[in-house]
Amino acid sequence: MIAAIVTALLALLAGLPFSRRIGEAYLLGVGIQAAILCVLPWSRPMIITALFVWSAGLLAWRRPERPSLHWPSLHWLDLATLVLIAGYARFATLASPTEIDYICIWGLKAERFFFAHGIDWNFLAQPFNAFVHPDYPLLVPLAYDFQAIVGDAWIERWAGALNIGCGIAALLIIRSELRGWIGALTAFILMPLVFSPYVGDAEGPLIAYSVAAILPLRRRENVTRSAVFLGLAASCKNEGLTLIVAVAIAMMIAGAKQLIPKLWPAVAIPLPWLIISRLHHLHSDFAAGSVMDRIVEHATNPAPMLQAMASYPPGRVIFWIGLAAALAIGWRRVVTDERFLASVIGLQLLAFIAAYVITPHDVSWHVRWSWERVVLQVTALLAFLAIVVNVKYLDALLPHRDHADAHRLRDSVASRSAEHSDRIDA
Amino acid sequence: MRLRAVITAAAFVAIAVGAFQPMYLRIFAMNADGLRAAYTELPYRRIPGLRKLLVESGAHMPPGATVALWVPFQEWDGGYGYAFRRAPFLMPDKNVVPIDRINNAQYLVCWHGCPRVIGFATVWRSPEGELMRR
Repeated sequence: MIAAIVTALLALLAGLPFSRRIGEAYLLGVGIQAAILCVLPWSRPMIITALFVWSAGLLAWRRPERPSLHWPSLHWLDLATLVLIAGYARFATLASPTEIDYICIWGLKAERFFFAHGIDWNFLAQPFNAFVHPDYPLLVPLAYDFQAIVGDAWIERWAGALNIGCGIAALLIIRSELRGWIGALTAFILMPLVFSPYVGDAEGPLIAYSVAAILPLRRRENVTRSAVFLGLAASCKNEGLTLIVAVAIAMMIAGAKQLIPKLWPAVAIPLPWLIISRLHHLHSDFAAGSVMDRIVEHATNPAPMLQAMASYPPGRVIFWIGLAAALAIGWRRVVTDERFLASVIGLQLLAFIAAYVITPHDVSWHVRWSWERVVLQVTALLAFLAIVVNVKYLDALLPHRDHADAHRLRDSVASRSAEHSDRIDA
Repeated sequence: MRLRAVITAAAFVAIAVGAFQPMYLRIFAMNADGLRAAYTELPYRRIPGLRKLLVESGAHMPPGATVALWVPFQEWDGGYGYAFRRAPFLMPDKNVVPIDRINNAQYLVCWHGCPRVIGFATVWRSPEGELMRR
């Protein structure tokens, strides 16, 4: 955590502007830490030296003439969000994470690697350790290991710090998407969706990388940088791989297929792990047995899957009612200006369902223990979509003194939409 | 326009209420020590004492030791898997193997006492269980 903050601050001093970029810098820093552990020996002096050498190199490369430390104006709602973040931070670091996937997958791999001073391929290859899902990408365990190596001890309850950092990073990016009180309101509403309650699991980092990748792509801005975050999302969980496909298809749907080649970092970043894990014969349990037989079985009899989804709904009913109402009111913008974001979310939800169709496990059991958790990966984006398509309707409810701000906000949204069209046309 | 605004505001309130996690506020008023103790035991609650047994027996073995785990449940889904999947996290510097690979193990850790195993002798015992060495 400390190392990631230092990394982020050094990135800022290297000339990147404040607020939003501090979130992006943190997420990039976590990814670079994992990459460092893939190439260097796991010794504390070596890692700390590498950190400083890399930071000094960054400073030399992008020495700012005048570092921008401008912080956007805050609203009182931001204070309420800060209180919630403080509560989450206390919740996440009270004890070592209790999630079973942390104990059996993410935390276990990290702890095992920490004591082995490197990736323990023998541990991953043992058939009786298949429950650790040895094929899962390693960014999250390596992020824990970086913390442990810098701290020179296993991280115990401080594993939750990664979730906190990723949550803050994602919220800073979301907050910077919308100005004024709407931005503050959006951050307040989305806070519990961005800060994953599954502390220690890979969902928190995956949500943060998804947000960092997809929100700028709505405006076709910084496509290559977004692709880097997309690649890091795919290095968190296998759902990140399907997200890359979803983004590529959504770009075609949104009429921006000419930008797809610029997504190459999204493929290049997870590719080494995909190759190396196959070379070590680390296969996904989804590939076991006859996939076609399972597809036919579940597709011809979807009732158990649908019943399980109905029995274990993701989140509260009132949330989905509000979401459906907001999307219905703003449907015109959903299918026009925001069709990229809407398509990404829809395609990713289809990918989740496809995973249940090919699952080798009992489908009811699989849905019960994963549906809510995986849907959480896109609920922040979904809620953001519901808010952003309805910004103009809130105008009518504003007190008079806020109208100017609302008009500016609406103009800003409109000008960004026009900018979209220009870029697509170009 | 006004009606749409009201419905939009109501939808936003529903989203906010639905997403809200009261725990993030309640936690300021909760007993941190009690909560920490409860959270620490939570992942192992179905086999009481398992966490304490594995942590303490791990301290009686050298790093890198291969240890088999015994609990009085034979089936993987009937209790053995529950214990086995949690054991490596509590003994991260040991090689934990399932009971059917006891021939490869130097140690045997048993929840609530070991069965008689030829070639193994007790080296440590606690109310939660027993550690045997080959």
